[in-house]
Amino acid sequence: MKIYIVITTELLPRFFKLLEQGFIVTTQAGCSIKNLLCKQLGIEEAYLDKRIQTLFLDGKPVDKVEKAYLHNDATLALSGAMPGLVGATLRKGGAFAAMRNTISYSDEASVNANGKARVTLKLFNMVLKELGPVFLKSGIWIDRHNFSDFISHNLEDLKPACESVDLNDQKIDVAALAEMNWDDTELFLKVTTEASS
Amino acid sequence: MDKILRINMGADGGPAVKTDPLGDYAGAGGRGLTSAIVSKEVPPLCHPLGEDNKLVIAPGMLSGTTAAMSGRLSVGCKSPLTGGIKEANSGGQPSQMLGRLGYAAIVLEGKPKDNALYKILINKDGVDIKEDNSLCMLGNYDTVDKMKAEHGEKISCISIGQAGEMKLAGASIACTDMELRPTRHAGRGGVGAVMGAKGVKVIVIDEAGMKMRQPKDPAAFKEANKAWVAGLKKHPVSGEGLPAYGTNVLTNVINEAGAYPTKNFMWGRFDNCNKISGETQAELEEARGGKGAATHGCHRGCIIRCSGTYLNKDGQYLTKQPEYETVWAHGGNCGIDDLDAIAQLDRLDDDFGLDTIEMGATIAVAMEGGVAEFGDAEAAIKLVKEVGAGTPLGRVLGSGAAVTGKVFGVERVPVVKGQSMPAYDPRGVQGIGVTYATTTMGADHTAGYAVASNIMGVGGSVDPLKPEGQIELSRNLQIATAAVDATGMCLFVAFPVLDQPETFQALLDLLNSFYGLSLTADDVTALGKSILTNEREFNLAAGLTAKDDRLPEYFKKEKLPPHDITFLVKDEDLDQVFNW
Repeated sequence: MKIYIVITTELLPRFFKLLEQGFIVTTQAGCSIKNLLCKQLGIEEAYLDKRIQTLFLDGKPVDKVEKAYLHNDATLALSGAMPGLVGATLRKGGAFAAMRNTISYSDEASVNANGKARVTLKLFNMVLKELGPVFLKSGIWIDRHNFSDFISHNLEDLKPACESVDLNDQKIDVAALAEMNWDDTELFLKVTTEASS
Repeated sequence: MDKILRINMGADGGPAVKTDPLGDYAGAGGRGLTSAIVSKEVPPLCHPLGEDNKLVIAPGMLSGTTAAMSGRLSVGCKSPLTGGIKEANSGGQPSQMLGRLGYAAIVLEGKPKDNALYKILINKDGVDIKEDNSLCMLGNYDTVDKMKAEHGEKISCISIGQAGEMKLAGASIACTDMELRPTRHAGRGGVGAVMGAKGVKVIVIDEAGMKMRQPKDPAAFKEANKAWVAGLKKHPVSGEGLPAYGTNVLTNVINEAGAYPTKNFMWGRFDNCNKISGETQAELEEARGGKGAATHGCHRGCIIRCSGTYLNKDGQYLTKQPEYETVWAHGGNCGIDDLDAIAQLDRLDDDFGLDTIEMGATIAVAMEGGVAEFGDAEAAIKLVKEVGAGTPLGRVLGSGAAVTGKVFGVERVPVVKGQSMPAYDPRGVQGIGVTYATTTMGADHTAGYAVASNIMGVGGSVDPLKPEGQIELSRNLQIATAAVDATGMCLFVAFPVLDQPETFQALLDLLNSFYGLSLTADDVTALGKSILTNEREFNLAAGLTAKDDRLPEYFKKEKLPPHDITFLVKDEDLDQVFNW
């Protein structure tokens, strides 16, 4: 199922919740975080270096993005620099990394490099604010339950803000999305603030 | 700030006021001054609620100046919660106002011979103390409203709610914010109970007629402040993340790290954390309050503005933006994923005058003890109301997690020296476990918070793969934090100071140009060490030993999912933290 929503600029950030919960990207198993983010998803290296200050692979803080490898069903979370001691501790290659060494991602972790890897990507805080519109514009694969919950919780606000809604290239009313019984486990969602050709 | 106001609440004929010169305490401020006075003047073995304990309220060294972020107030005493020395720290307006009135500290001494309740007015003309039993068992909000009606809206207040009057060990001291609401709290360690024991309900501060404190070198001070502000504004944490989301920006990140204590520290992740994350909270606040509702300072001169305004569903003011630790304590730690309920709990805590960390941790312990179900927000609200009403159950809960654990037979009680752990599981981030265990304050995340330690030259080079590195880091962080706490600076300045050497230099330049000093990083380190030495010696004399510098046993035995790890730092290593 493919859903394409055109919405007012004011309400676009409402969809960030779906990116915070996580969306699916597919890559080659064994590929590094840096490769996925910069080569496949088009994030600039400078942005990765400066703005994405905190990363977790399967909940483990990552220090070297070029030496952390993705496997099937991995979860990768991206965040800006965080406040406080623990924020500093979790930071990529930070001066206080020793304080969480028992949970840090280890370079030695072996990864099966065969086949494709479906990775759940989560965006938080400033990274969410900055990359969210880009990912929503290019489209994301999301869990149907997350989408259903999102639509039902936000329907009243979405109704006046949606300029158009397409489901598999057919125009529908946004309210119809709330009543849909999705057969597919995942849905492809695109959200923009102006209709593309 | 060249004088100390001493009020003997137990004097014959009623409270007696005396103003002393600084004497031996000259040059000290904030935590440096509170800990110096307590360690020198309070008998370590005294009862915390007795006449020999003293409550010391001290602005930081730069409070009352135009230096940005300089509005933190330190409150010190012997703690009824830990039995050791305490410094609890608050934002809000009082610190700046006391600084401008020239007071380096207010010291409440003695104890009233009856149950009378007093209000204290401090202004340019001096000090006026009146008995006012109409304030008895009022919440902080009503107390401040009464003071506003009596003294106008240009005051600030330091007050206690019902919990402080009942002398409960979880009681806080409230400080009013820029809107004259009692939303900022010196929360930890039961300092509110000590104020209650002194019979003081509220201290009203009126700075009318007073001017900003003047630096020795105004030009250099102005220049340093300019560099200081620029440094804070350009850093992504103090200039972007905190203003946009507040401290609750940490929820998603700590949860992802598997270090988010959930349901009384049973798990390291809370499934519904995105419902109470900083991102969700900021969006909700702006949806109800308009753009900018999630970005607000707690005192004049705050440029980070990590706070905000939380309106209820009907658009009415409910509370300030709950902090990360509050959202965790009343949220994930109790299995509650409803921001409105958490905000309601925050409001009740602020009104009754309770430490939100202690109360959230206590309710979670009570939930494990069968008093309520995890996730039951209505039950949590009811339990906090029991505290405010002073029912027998409420008094148990208001005495904190350690007491509550004993009453309900719970083994998993996350306290050190009787004080509840904050929102970071020490099994996930082992280094903070070292600080929880060894700090003079009882489990406290802010005791080792100043991540600028390496810039100050006390960080050293630590091998991240060796456990002893965590001891050294914790020690150095505690030293750096003690020094920052003395300045009156908000601890959130630590990140820009860590990353930007010129911002650290600007902080030194502020101190030097104001006081006509030539402090170096080494001097700041020496200051931090001397504060910790005072505190440590007090605690040893009060009977606290190495056995009190330990995490509860279960942290060494119970594995924390999802990383399935225990706390691994050895006791003998913990004993090395204060060997410098």
